[in-house]
Amino acid sequence: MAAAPSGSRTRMVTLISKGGRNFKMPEAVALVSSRSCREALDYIEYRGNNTMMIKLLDIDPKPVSMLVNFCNHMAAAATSAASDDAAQRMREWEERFLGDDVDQALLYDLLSAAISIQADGLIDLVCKRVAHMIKGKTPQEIRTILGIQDDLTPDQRDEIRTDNSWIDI
Amino acid sequence: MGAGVSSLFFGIGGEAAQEPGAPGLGDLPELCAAEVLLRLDAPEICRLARLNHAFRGAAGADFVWEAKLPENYRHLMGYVEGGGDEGRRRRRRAGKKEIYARLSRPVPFDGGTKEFWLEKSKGRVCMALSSKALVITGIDDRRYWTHMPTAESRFQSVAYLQQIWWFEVVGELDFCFPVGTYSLYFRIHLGKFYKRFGRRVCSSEHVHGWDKKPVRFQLATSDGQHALSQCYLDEPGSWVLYHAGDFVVSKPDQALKLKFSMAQIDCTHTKGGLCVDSVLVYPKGFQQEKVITAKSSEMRL
Repeated sequence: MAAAPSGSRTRMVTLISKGGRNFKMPEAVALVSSRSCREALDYIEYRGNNTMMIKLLDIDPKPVSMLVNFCNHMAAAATSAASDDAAQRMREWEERFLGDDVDQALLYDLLSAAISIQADGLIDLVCKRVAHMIKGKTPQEIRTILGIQDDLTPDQRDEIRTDNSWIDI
Repeated sequence: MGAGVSSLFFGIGGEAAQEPGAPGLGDLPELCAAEVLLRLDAPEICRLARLNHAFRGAAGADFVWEAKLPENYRHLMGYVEGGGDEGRRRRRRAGKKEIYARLSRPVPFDGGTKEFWLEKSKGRVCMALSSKALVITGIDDRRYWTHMPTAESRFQSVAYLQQIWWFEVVGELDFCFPVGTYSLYFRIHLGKFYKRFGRRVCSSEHVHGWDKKPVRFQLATSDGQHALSQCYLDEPGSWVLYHAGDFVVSKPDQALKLKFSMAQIDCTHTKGGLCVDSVLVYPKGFQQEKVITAKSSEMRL
C-alpha cells in the first residue's frame, strides 16, 4: 500500500449514493475493509492524488453513510491491540450500530451496499443478524419479516419440495 | 430496497459469476440471499428455498453448498461407486448440493463392511464399522459366537456371544477424516432380543460374568494419540454406545490409521450373553443413543 507523499492530503475513496451524495473515507480504510477496493487499487498503478470514485447510484444515502461509518470504525479497531475488552467493546458497538432503529428495509440496503464493495466485515454482521431473525421461523413469517413477496408458482413449489426431500430426516 | 448494483470499477463475483446456474451481477437480491444462507445450516437452506425466487436460486448455488461440504469432499466422493464411466462423468458434473445430498446417504466401502455419511445438519463425517469388519476372537467357533440377523443393526446382522473365556474385539481403520475431533464407540447390547407377537422382548439367558471384572477399551492412532479406559458393562435390554476414546484430526488430507479394541480376557471366569453390533465414529458431541463413558480413563492426544 503506497504511503501518501509527505505534505499532500491523504488519498481518499468516495462512495456516491443515490441523489449524488458523496461519502469519503481514507484510502487506508478502504483497503482494509473492502475487497473490491483492494483489487482496484492493486490494478491501478499510478493515479496521483486523484480520489477513487465508486458509484452506488441505486442505494440511498443513509445506508451508504452507515457503510462508511462501519469501515472507519473497523479500520480503527484493527489498529488497536486485541484483547477481551476490545472484543467486548466491538460487540457492543456492533449492537448499537444495528440497533432497534434499523428496520429490515435499511438492513437490506446496508447488505446491498456492503456486497457492492465486498466489505466482508459488514456483510458478515448483517447476514448474521438476518440469519438470527429468520432462524426457526416459517416461510410465511420470514416473508413478513423481510418484506418478501412469494413469487413462486405451484409447480415450482412442488419441484422444490421434491428436490429437497433428501434433507428430511 | 436495493434493487441492483450500479457501475462498479471491476466485476465482483469472480468464479461464481462464471459457473452455470450461479447468480449473475444483476441478481443482487439472490446474492444477498446467498450471503444469508451461507450462515445457516443445510436443513435451513433447503427450507428457505421455498421463500421466493431469489432464495430458491440462492439455495441451489454451488458456492453456498461448497461451504457446507467437508474440505476433502472430492476425496470422499471417490468412495461413491456405481455407473462405471458414465457414473464418473455424471459425478464430475454434479452440483455441490447434489454432492452434499449424496454424501449424506451412507457410502459403503471395504466390501460393504463399513460405511460413512455426513450428518445432515452440519455436514460432519460419521462412520460405522460392522461386526464383520472387526476381528473377534473365536468368531468362527459356534460354541462361542454366532451371527444374528436383525433389523436393529444398520448392517442387518450382529455378533452374538453365548459364552467365552477370552473376550476380545479388535478393529482397524484407515481413513482421511476432515479436520475435527471425533469420538469412537462400541455399540453393545447385553442380552438377546427378538420379536414376539410384534413386541420387542429381551432375554437375559446367557448374560453372565460382566460384573466380575471391567471391560478394557483402547484406541490408538498412527500419529501417537492414545486412549485407554475400563468400565463394567451394564444396561441390559438396550443398545449402549461405550465410549472408547476421542481422536483429533488436525491437518486436512491426513490419512489416519486407527486401531481400537474392547477386551475382557481374565480367564478365571467366563462371560456371555452379549451382542456386538458395530463400532461408530461420530463428531465429538454428536450422538443419538445412550452413551457410557468409562470413569477411570487416561487419554493422551
